[in-house]
This record gives sequence, C-alpha cells and structure tokens, in this order.
Amino acid sequence: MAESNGRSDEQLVEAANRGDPRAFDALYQRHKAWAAQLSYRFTGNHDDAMDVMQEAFIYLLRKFPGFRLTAAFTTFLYPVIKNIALSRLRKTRRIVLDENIVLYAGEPPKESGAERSLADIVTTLPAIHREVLLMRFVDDMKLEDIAEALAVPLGTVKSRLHNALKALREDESTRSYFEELQ
Amino acid sequence: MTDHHDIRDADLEAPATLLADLRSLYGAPREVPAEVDDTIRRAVWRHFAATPRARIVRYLFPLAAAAAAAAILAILPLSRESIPGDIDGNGEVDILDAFALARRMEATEKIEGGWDMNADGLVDEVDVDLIAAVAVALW
Repeated sequence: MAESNGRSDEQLVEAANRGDPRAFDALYQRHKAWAAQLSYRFTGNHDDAMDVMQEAFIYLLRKFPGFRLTAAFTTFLYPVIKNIALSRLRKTRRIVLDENIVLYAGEPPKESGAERSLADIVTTLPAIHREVLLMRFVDDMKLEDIAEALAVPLGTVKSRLHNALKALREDESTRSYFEELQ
Repeated sequence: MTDHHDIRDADLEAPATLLADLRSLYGAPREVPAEVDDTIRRAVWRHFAATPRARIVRYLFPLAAAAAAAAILAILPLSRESIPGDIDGNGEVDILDAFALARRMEATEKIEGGWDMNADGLVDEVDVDLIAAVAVALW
C-alpha cells in the first residue's frame, strides 16, 4: 500500500514538504479508506466518521511544510483519528470517556452464527484488549507500530494482545477457531 | 495477568479463519463520498497556496534559503500559458496553476493580463479561485 503509484509515503511527504499539493492528495487517496473505516470504528456512525476523517487530514495538512514521518503513516494517523473521535464524542454526546476506550465495538452481527458469536465476544473484551486485537489483525499493524501509536511499551501491547486472544481461545463460542492451530 | 516476558510470539498469532472473520466484521472498506474528497482537495489547495514560499524553502534549505529562492526566481523566465489558466505552461490546468498564480501574486511578480480568468480587469484571488475550481473539476 505504501508503495503504490510509484512513490512511497516517505517520498510523498517529502514532495508535500516541498509544496506539492498533489503529493498530499496522493497520501489522502492512499489512506482514506483505512482512515474512514477506523473513524467509523470509533464513532459507529457514518456521518461522524466522515467528519472525523476529514478533521484528521486537515490536522495533518497543517503540519506541512516541516512534517517529519518518523513512523508508518498509519502509526501517525491512528492516534490523531482516535483523539479527534473521542474529543468529538465527548462534546456531542456529553459523556465522560476513558482515554483508552475504543467506544464502538462493531456492527451488529448479521450473517452466520460463527460471525455473530465472534462479534459478541469481541464486544465484551476489555476495550484496551479489543483495541490492540483490531489494530493487529484488522489494521495489520506491527506490534512495534501499535506500541508507538498508543504510546505504550511493547510489552504492554503483547500483554494486551495475549489477553485478548486468550479470552477468545477460552470462550466456548470462539474456541473452535484455535483448533486449526493445534 | 501474564507477564509479557512469558509470552511467546506463537501466542500472539491468530488462526487464518479468525483473521478473516475479524476483517469481515471490522475491516470492511468504507466508501468516502465525493463531497468529502472535494472538501479535502480544496483545503489542500488553500493550504499550499497560502503557505509562504519562504516557509517551504526554509524547510528545505535552512541556510540562506530565502536569498537562494529569490535568486532563482529572478533568473527563471515566467512561462506564458497557451491555455487560459495554465499558469505554468505545462499544457494543462491543474491545482499547481492556482498555486503558482497565488505565489506570484504574493511575491508581487509580473502578472500577465491573460491570467484574468473572469475578465474583470483585475488579476486577483477570484482568478486564483477560478483556476482552482477548474482544476478540482478536472480531477
């Protein structure tokens, strides 16, 4: 993904730093689908998700020129989207949220029984475990990138992911997934 | 709670079927409406058009950047466009043309009469906006 259109994210950031608006647009085009999906995960509402995504890219835009990409682009964008979404939810819904909460756990299950069970179990995981589980296996982020995005030690990420998987492994509804590993 | 030192890499792997179901549940691509794309593009253009050239140059060349940029601008001929709005003369009207016109206005460089897009006798921000609108429409 980071190498599409012939230029890496790093090269596009450099071009945008030189004042090329098309380079920023290419970054946006490359990452907007993921950003939209992540925004939806935090807000659970399409319109709110679009607003959050838009605000996140505008925030990023204001970093140019002079933006330094010191990690994967998604590693930088993740906490931006999360913070904007949580801040928005605090304002609009007038509720107090824990900084570490991933508020929206997923869409209501709608198809097979196995899928429904998985959604139910994931929803009941502690938010900090669920968040790491989704970052690792849905967003396909490396453990080191997750640690950076969440500003927590790598060991904490491993521990949270381990606990999330353990819960899935031990629940009778999702235990069958792990039989293929044995 | 398991200490992370006791966790093996194999303990952090997910079966392929679990991965597939998680992605199906939470990773479905979200369609971004065209109006959101347009809003972002306009913001991008406005931002880069409004970003002082010196700020960009200072980022690229910390030492004597402003002087170098001024020297380069002084020796480079201004390209004359053959297509209305084609400020940089590359044969197409794109967001960089609006960007270029804004820069030239900002630097109070020579303004060509042919850049008066709305033919009101002035080359101003309205003309920049018109070029940007054309560029966005073409994208």
